[in-house]
Amino acid sequence: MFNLIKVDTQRVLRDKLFLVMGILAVVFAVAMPLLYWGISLLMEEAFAEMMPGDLFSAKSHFFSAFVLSDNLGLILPVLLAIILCKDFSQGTVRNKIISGHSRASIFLSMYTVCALVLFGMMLLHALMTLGISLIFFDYQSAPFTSADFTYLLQSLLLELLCYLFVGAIVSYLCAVMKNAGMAVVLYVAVMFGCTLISGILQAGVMALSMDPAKESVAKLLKTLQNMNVFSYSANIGQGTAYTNQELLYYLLTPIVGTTAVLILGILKFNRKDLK
Amino acid sequence: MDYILQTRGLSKRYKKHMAVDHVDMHIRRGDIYGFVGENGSGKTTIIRLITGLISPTTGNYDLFGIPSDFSEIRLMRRKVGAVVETPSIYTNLSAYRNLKLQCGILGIDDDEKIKQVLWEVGLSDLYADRKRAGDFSLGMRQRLGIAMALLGDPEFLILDEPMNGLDPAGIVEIRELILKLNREKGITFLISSHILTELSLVATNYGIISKGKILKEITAEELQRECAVTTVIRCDDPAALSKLLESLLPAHRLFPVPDGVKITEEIDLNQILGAILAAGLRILSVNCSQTSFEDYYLNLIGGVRHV
Repeated sequence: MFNLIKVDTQRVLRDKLFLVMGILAVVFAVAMPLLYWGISLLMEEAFAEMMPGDLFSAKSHFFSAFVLSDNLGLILPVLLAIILCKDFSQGTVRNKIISGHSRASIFLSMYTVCALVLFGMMLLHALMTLGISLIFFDYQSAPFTSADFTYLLQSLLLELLCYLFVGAIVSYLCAVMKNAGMAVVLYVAVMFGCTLISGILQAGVMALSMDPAKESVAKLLKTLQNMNVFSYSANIGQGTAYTNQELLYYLLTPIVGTTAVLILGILKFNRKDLK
Repeated sequence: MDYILQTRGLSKRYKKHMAVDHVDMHIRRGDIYGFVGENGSGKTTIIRLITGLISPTTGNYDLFGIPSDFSEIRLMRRKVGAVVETPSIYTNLSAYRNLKLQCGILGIDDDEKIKQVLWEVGLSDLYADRKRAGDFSLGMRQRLGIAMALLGDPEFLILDEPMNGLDPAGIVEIRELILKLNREKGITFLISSHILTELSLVATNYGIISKGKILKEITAEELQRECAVTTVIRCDDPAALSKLLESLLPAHRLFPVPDGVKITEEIDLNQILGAILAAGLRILSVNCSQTSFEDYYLNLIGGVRHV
């Protein structure tokens, strides 16, 4: 499988869309901190301090760069799906099968490259965002402590798990769908669907938590929201510490989800008729 | 018998359509197996089945003696090279990069090998060329596809419609390449085509398929016999004629027809007619005809279709 990973990596890196991904990563990394800096200049200082979640901090910008339903987090999986699907549309996946590689290793190689490129690119983008943001803002308003460092590492691990899950979804769609168009449309539909559900759940939690009699239902809705990767990815790194419950859901959901999608992907791809 | 490929009751059904219907195929080592059939007859589906791109609905096959349901079949696939329908190449990459990636898939790291296969398919000037494969002519793509299939030193090469879209010079080049690889490297070929005349210039064996069924497997020699000149001689005494011809042509196959005899092999007509006249028989008619491969094929599939 190592040979396949090497080949798939070279294939992705040599694709023109990969260059587009790199350019977009730089553009967003430069644009977002500048945008926030511009907003901060226009805002009254007192009003800026009232903004939730330490909005004008490099830390916030760093973790915002990872959010799955925004900017690069939205575009990158779509572009990567188009690159990966070329293996099917150009028929080059046949070379791998005829050369004696198992379908499971072909699928897992595609997944490995997809997840690594996704997270690698997002990490680079986030680090660039952090670097540029630090020119204009502090890392955070409070002094940086060892607890913050632990929180940073925990958050990066959670982001990695999120992208491993997204990589699995993208690989699954590329391997199972008939063409890149369908894979992209379905990915976007899944993402928007999850975001929409998250919004509904959020509204439900807010409405029900006011009524003590319906507190248990509100808790259930909150739990469901915490299991929605596309929703909670926006919360990662935006606080100062995770509750045990949050950590449990943020860890379990992507791990279970990734495993399930990969198993399903291998099973489906094994049965897929290739042209 | 040393079969490279043997299929047993191989079938593939797509919903209600039976694309391949209980196919039994036999390809021996060293054969150039011409796979003949009209468009949509199931040639490519069978090729996809034996290359593992699709799985059979029923039946199985042996590749180098290993049954398809054994996991070792994947190791046997390493001995196979294939160009199925269109060459599987990365259109945004150069010929060299395509071959380099294929080397990666095969786990070999040998630039000399790349040079060698490019030379073999007549594309050696592309070694250092950075032109994208997407900008190649159809013939060049076809040859690049064959070069990629040759990288793993295959013992069995499957070419699906390799002459499609080629100009006459390209067809000759591919034909000569096939013959050279078969002669010099002992590579066994399975070549599907609906250009019968072209196939007849290279094939040593044929499998004739129609509507997903193999109608006949026949060697080139057998086919030649089947397609040989047929002479029908009619005279006033067919029994005497038959006796005379049996003595004159002891090694030939003779078939009685009304008022005469049919000979399905080439004969020295002047000599035979002279002997008949000398025996005092009165010749009523002499008809000579030759069955072409196309005629033979059309007779077999039961009528004229688009071939």
